[in-house]
Amino acid sequence: MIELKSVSKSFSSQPVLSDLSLQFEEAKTHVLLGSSGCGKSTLLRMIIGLTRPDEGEVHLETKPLSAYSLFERSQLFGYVIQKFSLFPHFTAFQNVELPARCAAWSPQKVKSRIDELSELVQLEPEMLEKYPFQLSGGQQQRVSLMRALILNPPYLLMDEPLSALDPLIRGDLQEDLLKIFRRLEKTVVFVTHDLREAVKLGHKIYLLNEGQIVQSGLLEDFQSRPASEFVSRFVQSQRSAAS
Amino acid sequence: MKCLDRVARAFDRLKGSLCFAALLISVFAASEDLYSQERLRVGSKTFTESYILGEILAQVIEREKSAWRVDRRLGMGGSGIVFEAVRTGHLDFYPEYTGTLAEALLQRPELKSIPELREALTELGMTISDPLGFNNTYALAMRRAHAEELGVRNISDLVNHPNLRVGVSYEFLDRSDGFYALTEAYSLAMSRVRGMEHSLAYDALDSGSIDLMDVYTTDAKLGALDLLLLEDDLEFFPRYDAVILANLESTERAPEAWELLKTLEGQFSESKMIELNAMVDIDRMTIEDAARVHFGESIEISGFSRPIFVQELWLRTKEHVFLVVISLIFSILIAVPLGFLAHHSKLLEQLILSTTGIFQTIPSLALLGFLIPILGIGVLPALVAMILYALLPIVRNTYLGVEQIPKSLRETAFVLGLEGRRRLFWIELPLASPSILAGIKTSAVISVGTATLAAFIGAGGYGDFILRGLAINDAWTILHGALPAALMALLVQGIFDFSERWALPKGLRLSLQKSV
Ligand SMILES: Nc1ncnc2c1ncn2[C@@H]1O[C@H](COP(=O)(O)OP(=O)(O)O)[C@@H](O)[C@H]1O
Ligand SMILES: [Mg+2]
Repeated sequence: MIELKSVSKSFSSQPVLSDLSLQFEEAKTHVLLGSSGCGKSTLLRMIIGLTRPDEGEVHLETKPLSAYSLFERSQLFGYVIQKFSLFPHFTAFQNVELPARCAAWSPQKVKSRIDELSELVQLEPEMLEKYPFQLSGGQQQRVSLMRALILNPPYLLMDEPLSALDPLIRGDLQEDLLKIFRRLEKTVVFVTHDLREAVKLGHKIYLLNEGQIVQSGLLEDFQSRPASEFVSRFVQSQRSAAS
Repeated sequence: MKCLDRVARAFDRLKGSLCFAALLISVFAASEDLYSQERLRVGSKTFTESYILGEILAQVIEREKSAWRVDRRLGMGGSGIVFEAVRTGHLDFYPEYTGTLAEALLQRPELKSIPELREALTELGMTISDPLGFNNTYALAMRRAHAEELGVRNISDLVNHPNLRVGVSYEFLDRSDGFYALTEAYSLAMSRVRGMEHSLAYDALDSGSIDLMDVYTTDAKLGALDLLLLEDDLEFFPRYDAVILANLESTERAPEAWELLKTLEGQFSESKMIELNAMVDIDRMTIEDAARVHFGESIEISGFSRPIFVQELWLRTKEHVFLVVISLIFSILIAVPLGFLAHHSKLLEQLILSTTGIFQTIPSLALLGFLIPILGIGVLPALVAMILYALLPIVRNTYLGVEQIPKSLRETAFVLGLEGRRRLFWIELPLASPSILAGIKTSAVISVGTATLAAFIGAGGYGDFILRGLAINDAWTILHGALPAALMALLVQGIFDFSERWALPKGLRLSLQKSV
């Protein structure tokens, strides 16, 4: 379980997250939703240790995040970002195997794990011999996902992984991701600014605004019992944009 | 991963080269020690007369078939460098002038006589012979027609012509018996004064782009060009009697050789020296041949059909390549880690980038002069100077190469748990490699150029031809150094352009090509 204990974060005295507390249950897909610039990435980066909270703490299981070494954290988390996360001097295969090399896996073990993963994310095996710049955006994100999953970490953090893709490919990948999440039953924290994507993928949605979670639950809750004026406006605006 | 293995292998290979270079240098240093017992090192400065006299010193020893082998270090840069080399025992003999010793080197202008000078030098572990017989003092020269037109005969007459364009050698500008002191003594107010390479000033004067220059009274061109030497009516210039400067220990270690050298005392007159100088400067005789003429051999002057110095060219090429390759290897080994280190803190960044930057701003002759008391003359100080000059481009490009790694990749490395050596060798080094290689290429090309300066401290290379050619104002000799140096610079450029194919990670090279 990931737990944020009243964390605050400001950038040059501009508060981004203020006194925010949150728990992400095991084996569920949690979607962080909010307009761009509201602090979703900051929250995710805090969980993985790229950003330190000014106040408050992040706990993993029962221990604070700082109790884990960098290596231990790399085994606990898979992390996928929007784009530019693949190393250009490595082939897709080399990118995917990187965490396994650090963990000193045998080549046979790496090979069979990568075969398994390429089937899971539906990437043709011959694509693995290509360099990132030779792959399409969708293929690159499938490779990133494989790399995030290779050590089979219990937590998967994804920061708008589909936002840079064409709508058509994005739809396909949403379907594929849903299947993968169902099959793996990992604790997923998925960031998006798209309500429909959130509804499609998430067990539970968290709406972020002005440094706080304004409401969490299912879309039905947002519609029937909006916690504030902002919630209904947000839901309304995304609806009309989509139709 | 193939790519990572290659980095590791390249690293291993570098380690090999490092050992190899260290070996070469220690062999070189050892061999110098080994031979110093039976070798006499004769030097000279970088103008024709000094070359000729240096060569005569060498030949007078060699002609006697004595047990001593002569190691010629002719054409070393500036009086300060050669003097320092004799003082510190890295050179045994070279021709010098009494005026230069008193005024510029000892900075005791009150020392006028030979015994006085000898006493002062003995305190420094050196001595001088008696005068060789001619006085090569400074004089100011103008085109004769121009001087007559203005009615200038004495230096005092210049008071009325402060606007004459003056081109004087750098050394003459600043010394205590030099140009500024002279203008003070004569109350001149020359307003258009600039420093020039001495051998080029003649052409400038002859073609009318300057009006007044400093000359030596034995300059070969005095006869050929129609110049007027202005009379030194206040007797400002001290005497410049040619003598042999020697390290005292050398005269004790090789008394027979010192006796041979002393047979040259009183053998020269001004007119004889002008003649010898003219044989080289005007008749295009080689320095070796001019020296032979002194010993009574008759030499046929071959005019313009001069041979290519094939053997010497090969020797100089080997020296030049050695200097460039070894200094580059060491610069890389020092500069690349420094470039990475500069990332650790703002303080280190400032410290490293500014220190390596400072080396580039030190004039090369000043740096070489500074290194002589510590490292002597020859290959070692030349390599050190070249290494210092080559640092900045590599340090800066390494630093920038790492700096330019996108934040998303940096963070991905962190999230994947890559730390220390893994992050360095798997991520940072390959991603920065195009920039690092470009820095190394810049340094290599620069090094081909700076290696020509090694000749100033007797380390050989193409600079030897260039200095000698400049001294005797002979384009043919200069070309022997300048052309191969230029070709080598192009070749080095080409080699590096080609080496990108295998030195850069394939994916990175292809994606860079694509994004262009
Ligand atoms: N490293 C940083 N330095 C300064 N400001 C930052 C930094 N990271 C994020 N911010 C600011 O914090 C706010 C939230 O950013 P972010 O978490 O990336 O939002 P989101 O992912 O929801 O679009 C933005 O206004 C952004 O400009
Ligand atoms: Mg974001």
